[in-house]
Amino acid sequence: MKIDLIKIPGIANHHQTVWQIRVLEIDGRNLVLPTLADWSKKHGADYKKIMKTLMMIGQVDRIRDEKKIKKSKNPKHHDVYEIRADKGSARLMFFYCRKTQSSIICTNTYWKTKSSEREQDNAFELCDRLKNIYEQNP
Amino acid sequence: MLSNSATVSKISMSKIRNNVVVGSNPAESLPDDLAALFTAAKPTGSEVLSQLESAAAELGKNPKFLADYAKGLIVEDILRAMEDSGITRNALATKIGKSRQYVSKVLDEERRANFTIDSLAEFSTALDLQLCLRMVPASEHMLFIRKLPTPVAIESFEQFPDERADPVMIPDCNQFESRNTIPFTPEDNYEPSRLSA
Repeated sequence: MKIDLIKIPGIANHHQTVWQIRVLEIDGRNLVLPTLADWSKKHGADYKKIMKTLMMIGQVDRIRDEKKIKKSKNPKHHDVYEIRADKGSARLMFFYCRKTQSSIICTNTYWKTKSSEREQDNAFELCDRLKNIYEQNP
Repeated sequence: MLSNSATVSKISMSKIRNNVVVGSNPAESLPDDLAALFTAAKPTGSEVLSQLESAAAELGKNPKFLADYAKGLIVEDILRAMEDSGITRNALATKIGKSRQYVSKVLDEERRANFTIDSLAEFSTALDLQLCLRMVPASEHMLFIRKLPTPVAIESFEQFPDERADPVMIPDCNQFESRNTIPFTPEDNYEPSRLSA
């Protein structure tokens, strides 16, 4: 298993003065960029909101507006968050990296539907598992 | 509309990589369900990358997006200053001589209350902030050197060392690295030599 961190096209260095923003890639595949590209084509409004928050999140210690960022309330999850397209359906899950102490690592996405609580929890769960794999890797 | 041969040829995976493999352990493998998930994921080839580059470039030319983005950052600056100084919306409204409803409306991006330079100046003086407004050529960047609170105000970061609270030092403009150690790359058109020209 090879774990790598890759950049998000469109998120420039000047958007990352406090935190680096990266996507978790395992064995050459990731669960974020293809979806983001898809949203940019099919769901422009949601894509813009996600990108806006991505551009902001690397420049501040933390985002205080809960419409943009939410932390998982499930006690089983440890410090995993979602970037929300407010009033939209796109969600991007991430965690703050304890290894480098300077990175935000995006792991996966989901598209919110009406009965989404379980989907949201599943997405947080996946983020939490990927976070554990990342942190346990030598 | 979003891809052309010139764009695609410029974009390669090396551009988005950190050039640092975080971990590599051939003996370890992903759990089956995760392995299936990653195997099923669409490869991040030049088609995906050029789509993302093009979409982001369009955002950079969209005044409404840029206004939303700038407003979002300003709202975060105000919220942070309010939190740091323990000032409430009521108190802030009193300080700037406006109603609490006005302050709430301004802080709620969705309600589309617009900032003016005058109102920004009012907020910044009331919160003891510096107001920095500039318009610069696209080839230049404005950089804000930010001092973070100690500890970083996220509960899970309490164990982080205090060094994050140190102000950023710029040792040498020609070897500038941002706070998070990402070097400026030629793609960013950052040309320190211009500074001394």
